Amino acid sequence: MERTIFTQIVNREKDIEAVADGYKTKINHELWLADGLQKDAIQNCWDVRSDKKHGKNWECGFLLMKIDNKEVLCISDKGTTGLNGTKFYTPNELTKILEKISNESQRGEDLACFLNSNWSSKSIEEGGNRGRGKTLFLVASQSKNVFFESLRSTDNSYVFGEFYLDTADKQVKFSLHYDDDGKAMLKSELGEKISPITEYGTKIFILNPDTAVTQAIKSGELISFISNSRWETIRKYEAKIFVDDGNEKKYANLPYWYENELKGVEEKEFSPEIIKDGTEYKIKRLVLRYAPNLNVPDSIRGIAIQRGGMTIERIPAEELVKEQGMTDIYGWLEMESKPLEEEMKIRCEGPEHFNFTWTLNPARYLRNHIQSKIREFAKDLKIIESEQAKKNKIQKTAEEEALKLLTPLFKKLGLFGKHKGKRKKKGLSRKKNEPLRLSVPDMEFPRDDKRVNYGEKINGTYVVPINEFGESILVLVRVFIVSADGKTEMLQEKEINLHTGEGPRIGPDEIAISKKYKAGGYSLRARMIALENKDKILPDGVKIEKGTILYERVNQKFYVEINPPESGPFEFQPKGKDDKSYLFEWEQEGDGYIIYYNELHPRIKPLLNDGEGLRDYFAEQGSLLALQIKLEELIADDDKEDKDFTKLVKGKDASAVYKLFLNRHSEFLWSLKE
Amino acid sequence: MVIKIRKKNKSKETVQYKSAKKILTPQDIKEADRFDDALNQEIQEIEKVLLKEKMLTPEARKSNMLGAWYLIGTRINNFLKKYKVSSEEENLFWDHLYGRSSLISKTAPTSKISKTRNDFRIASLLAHHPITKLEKIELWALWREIITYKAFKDERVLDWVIKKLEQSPPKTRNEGRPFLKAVSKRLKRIDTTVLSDKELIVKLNEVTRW
Repeated sequence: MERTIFTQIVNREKDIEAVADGYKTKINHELWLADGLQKDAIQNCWDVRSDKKHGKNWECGFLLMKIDNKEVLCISDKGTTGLNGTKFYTPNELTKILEKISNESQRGEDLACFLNSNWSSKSIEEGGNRGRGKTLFLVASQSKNVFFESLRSTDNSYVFGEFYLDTADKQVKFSLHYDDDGKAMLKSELGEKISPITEYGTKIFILNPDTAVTQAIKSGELISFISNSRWETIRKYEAKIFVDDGNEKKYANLPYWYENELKGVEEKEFSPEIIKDGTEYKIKRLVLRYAPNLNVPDSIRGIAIQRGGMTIERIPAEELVKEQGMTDIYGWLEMESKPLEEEMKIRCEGPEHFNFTWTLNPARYLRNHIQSKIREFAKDLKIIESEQAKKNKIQKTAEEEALKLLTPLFKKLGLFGKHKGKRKKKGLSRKKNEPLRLSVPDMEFPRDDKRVNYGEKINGTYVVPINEFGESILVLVRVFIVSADGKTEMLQEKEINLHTGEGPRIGPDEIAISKKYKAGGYSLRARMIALENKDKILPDGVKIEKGTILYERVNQKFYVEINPPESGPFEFQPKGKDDKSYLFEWEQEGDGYIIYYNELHPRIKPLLNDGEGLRDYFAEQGSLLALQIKLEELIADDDKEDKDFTKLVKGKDASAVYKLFLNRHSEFLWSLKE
Repeated sequence: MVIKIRKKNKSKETVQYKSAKKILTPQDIKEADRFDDALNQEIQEIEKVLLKEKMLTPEARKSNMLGAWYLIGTRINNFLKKYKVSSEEENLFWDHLYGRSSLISKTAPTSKISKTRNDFRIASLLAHHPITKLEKIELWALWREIITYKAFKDERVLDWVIKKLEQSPPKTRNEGRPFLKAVSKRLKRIDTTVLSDKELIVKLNEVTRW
């Protein structure tokens, strides 16, 4: 029985769409086609440079022009070899060449490979070798129609051709013309405006380029894409790559971020090293940079993984090391060509040259290596906290929270704030009302602790002048805000003839807290000043004259975006000593006390990593220390405020001390648990 | 700004970082180190200029006390334009300017110096006035006194005080002090900003005895 063998007919239109989808998914921004096109096109041009070592006289460019009023994108290269390889005239001859490429890995068949899909004449060391880039030329043409011309360095031969998608049978077809025939075809297809190429190299003419491509050229984004991905080639070889939108020709520059010795940027270069023990995978260079205050653009952030002089992918540092400050790290990594770069390309790189599969080795080894180096770099620069710093933070937080818990006890004992002067405050009775005064009757904060965040309001920020003086008086009332650094913002200033009783509200109804208020402490203040002389005197004996400050006791504090400072007579501080008799000790400093704790003591040491445990321990011990300090102060000052303590001091009975302490300590612990 | 503080205890020097912030990050410490280095460098620069201008001798003697402190104040003010110190840390900053130069302040004070007596802060305040005005009263010690009075913040009051002191210059600070106190007492409860020049002068001229 005779077998009939069919060759599968491939719908090339769908193939083109599939290639486009691949790029679209990997590049993930609106101008993906322009970005993908530049990367592939430049890589192809770079791979065929005549001077492999230095890239001398090499140039590549994108020119947007009009031929017969239709837009054409011309991608050209110079200082390259042109489409060399065996000339062919018939499909059979082409098949033989492709068979040789397939069976014998024949190299140098640039022309045949250029015109056929999924064939590449390139070695593995070169940038592309999947043969996909040229399909992208068809993707970039709305009419799926591309012309090309090339002057070949091997035989000085000229070649002109066209390749296109035949919408009837969904196949990609091409035609070829050599030498004079080719030049005539160029003239016939593209008109007089285009002269045949005179230097070795190739020009690709993409007819009706996609709007995303033309838009990227006109907006200047194409040149940014080029700079950001080809910066290594530009830096090392001073490579010339231009974009000409028909009006202006611009060359891609080395992005500022890759220049040497940048101000405000900390840098560390890791020299060549094996990335995984027991392998030969070696990097050439890893450079990490930290630019905390310079707003590194998103397109540069992360570690650029370089291959073949181009950036394949940037891995965000914050993806590798989940700590604060990582977004300000950028850098790049270059690989030794063998075996690391080669295997990264074969095994791990996506066909679009925009990503690596990081789950496969050696990419996984490389990622782990970069991760550990970023961590090392960040630790050197103290961007991320060392374990010790973290421990310190736990301690600090525990100290602060313990002080908060102790505050009610401090108040009960009459131990006042460290920054509030000596504790000789006799009660908290309010001063008698003055006959001429200002009242702030309706002030309301968003929360009890007087913290106000951006976007919130403080209501009732006006004052009401009150006159119980017995006669009218001309006054000036000023309502203002004073910041912690002493800056004053006048809210309202009003002259009024203040009759007996209440005067009008002065000041705004509310203060909206916007970013014009820097985070910190503020005071709403008000002052009433006499604007006339009076014969009558004030209760404190001051004669009223023009300029006399009648009242200035308005001082309402609030805190923008910060918690109010904790006031307490104590401050905990760690001081480790290898001394068994020392658990806590205290020293007077200013108006308060510093309680030193022995962080080496076996009772405290295990708590250093346990914030809550440490807080509770400090609070418990702090209560006993507060009692002891109170007792010391009473003995020193002969204070009679606290009856129990006074009795204790007078009684001179040492046995009663611990009993009282234990009572108070127990009460405190009970209240804590409640 | 976190302030780096060096404490000398017998032969040992300890370093502390102090700030209004309770929890300091490694970044804060790094900034404090940078700030401290810059400040030390600035103080060394000031020393050099003072020596060059012969306002200061290598034996730490100020030949022109007012001029020297004026220069110090001006330089510190410029330094503070570059490096902001918040009001919460201001006292720490002034306190720890001492001890950085054995020429500018020969001995570091053993106890805390109040804000009103801190030479560096006084110099900084004085440097906001033109030197020509300050030179009318040459006594640095008297300027230290004048600058502490709240009432003299009104430039008109200060000018009047200078004029009066020029007419009968005191030889020492103590000699000038009663007059300054009397002026301050007269204006104790007065907000001079609401007074016209004439009204203010009338009140000041009432100060006849001290």
